[in-house]
Amino acid sequence: MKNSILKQFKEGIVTNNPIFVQLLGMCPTLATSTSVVNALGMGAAVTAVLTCSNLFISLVRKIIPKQIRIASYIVIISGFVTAVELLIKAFFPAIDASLGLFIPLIVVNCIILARAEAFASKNPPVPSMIDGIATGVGFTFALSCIAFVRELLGTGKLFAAADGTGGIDVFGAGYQPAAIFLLPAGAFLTLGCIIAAVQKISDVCAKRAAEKAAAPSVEEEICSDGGETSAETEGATDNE
Amino acid sequence: MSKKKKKIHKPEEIKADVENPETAVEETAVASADPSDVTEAVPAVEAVDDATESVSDTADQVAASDGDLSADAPDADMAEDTTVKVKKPRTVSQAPRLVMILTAICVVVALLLGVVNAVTKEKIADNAARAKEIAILSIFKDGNRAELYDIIDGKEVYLVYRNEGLVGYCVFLTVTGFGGDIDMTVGINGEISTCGVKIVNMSETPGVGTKVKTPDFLELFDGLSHEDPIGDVDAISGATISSGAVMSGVKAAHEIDFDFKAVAEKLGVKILTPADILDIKETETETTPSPESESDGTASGAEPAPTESRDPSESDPAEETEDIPYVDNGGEKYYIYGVGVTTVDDRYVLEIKKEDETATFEKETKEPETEKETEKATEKQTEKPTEKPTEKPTEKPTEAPTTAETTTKAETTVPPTTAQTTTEPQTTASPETSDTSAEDTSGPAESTETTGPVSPDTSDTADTGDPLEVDTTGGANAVSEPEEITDSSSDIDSQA
Repeated sequence: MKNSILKQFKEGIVTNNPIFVQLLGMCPTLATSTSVVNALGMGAAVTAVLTCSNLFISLVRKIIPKQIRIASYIVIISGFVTAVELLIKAFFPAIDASLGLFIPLIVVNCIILARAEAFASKNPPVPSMIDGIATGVGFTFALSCIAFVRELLGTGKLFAAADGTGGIDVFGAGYQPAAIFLLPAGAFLTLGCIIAAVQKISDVCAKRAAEKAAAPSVEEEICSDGGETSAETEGATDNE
Repeated sequence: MSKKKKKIHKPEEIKADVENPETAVEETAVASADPSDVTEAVPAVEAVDDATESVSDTADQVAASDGDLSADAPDADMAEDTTVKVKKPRTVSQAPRLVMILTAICVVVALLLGVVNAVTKEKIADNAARAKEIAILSIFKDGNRAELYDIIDGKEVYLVYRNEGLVGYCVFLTVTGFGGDIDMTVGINGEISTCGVKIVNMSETPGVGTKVKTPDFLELFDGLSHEDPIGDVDAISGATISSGAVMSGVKAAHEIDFDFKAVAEKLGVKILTPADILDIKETETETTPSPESESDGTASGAEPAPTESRDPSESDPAEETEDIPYVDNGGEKYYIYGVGVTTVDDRYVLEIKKEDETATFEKETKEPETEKETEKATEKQTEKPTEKPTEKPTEKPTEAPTTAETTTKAETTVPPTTAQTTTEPQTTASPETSDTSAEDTSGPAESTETTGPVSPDTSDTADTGDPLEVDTTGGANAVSEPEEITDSSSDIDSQA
């Protein structure tokens, strides 16, 4: 049980990250990752909605006929999004002021519908809830990475509050901020670079895993080749 | 039309009939499960034409019949599918079930939302009102209460009070900016001139249009009168539309149909003048202790801190210390309240305080050690070197808590005055004793000035006054001293 939970978390955060790997929900990603606090707020809202909607959909998955499933999912998701929006407006007005329109837009965030369709509608409630949390954490993590870069280069500060004040001045007063990072163009640049890095890392990991898996068969091939190379290759395989 | 009769059979048989004509087109047309393909193929092939015609006829009949299929409206649409697909009758009859389930889900979700709304409604309204109040009080720093008076021309007008008097009014309005609406508020004071503009909400281009939110731009409107609310304010280059919107907003706020004075009369409330406000603050400061001044500095725009604690203490130190001479030691002001020593045992202690501390003046008749204990040590130390720089080297061992500033002050003055140390023999401790000896020379007239500004008794100490510039700074009271001070300093120079 614990293994599967860990596995789900690993998938949600690393191997199947909704932003870096699945490339879902790009619009709110680019718009709300201007500062780390904003990113955390948005990530928390999405995680809340994901968890609740996954749980609820999983509970009623046997009742909903498949013809109206998308419509039902949308109703359920928008209900939870509106509830989260009202709660944020009441208890975190600063976050509401800075995220503004993007909280109600969580309804059309593909991540939530994708997880509902792909996982919650086919699995029992508890794994669905875990999946919701894992995907939400992965989303928040990805958003924070982008926001870290954008805020650092775009304003020279880190962890500024939701209304723009405060924050740690990293580069000092003399830093001329690169304002492009606060605009959508900078968001794309940052996101592109990070996705490239993630792809590179995952390629290297995959290659290593493939090498490990292929090692015995490689040995066989080389032995079957016979001849001059067998000595070298034996040494090489030994080193592996 | 015998075919029709046949077609009343199950749809599978209809398919079989259609497949009979031996044309490739027909077969492919029928083989594809897409009704649209069938309809497209119809004009091409005559044989299929008949078949499809009959099939659609049959479909209508099937719809109309009381057979397996129920006569619901969706059937007409479903019938198209029936021409090529094997349709399960069950799914059509499920339509009411689908509707019911969807309705049930909607009802449950709506109930959930109703509950959440009921819980958060008040808090949200509170937050909105609080945000407005913060905006108003950040413009009217003297105000401590705001009330909505009326909505004129679609703009909310708030009256701003200080206790029972009016300080001004605030107009909330919305203008169209470049990237959307700009919610702003304009504060107008008793003289019907702008006293502050604040942007509450905007969605302008970051870095360009958002410049209109900066105090640099908004302060330009302060003080502009009712007749000319915009004056010479120029738009920010690169943000013409945003600046123009803000300017039009300020103009519109002045142009609303609202007569402040008439309204104040009608309500029976007095419009406070700046003098009135100062009076109120003074009466408040008498009752509130000065440490409140420290809480001022932390009041940020986002804090809903009431302004009562802000105002009285803010004005206090300024008023008190305005006329008192001070020495400026690299940015820090040390106010000099008085000094005077008349006898050896009857000593007045000079205390020099930093500008945000209250000053005290005490008459001490105790020994130096007890003096140290009873008075604030730092201030006492500061005054020692100013009085007697010559004593400084001897003072150090006797008076431990010497502040850094005083040591620097003393050190700078010690070299020139070392010559004088020899003249004053007392080394043991009380700098006051040397004061006495020094002051005796300056004459009795000065010794009477003990409560006011620096007395000329400090002329000996005035050599330290050189770096401290006692003679040049301070209020009018200090003017009497410069001559003596400069005289002694010239003495020092000659000795040095």
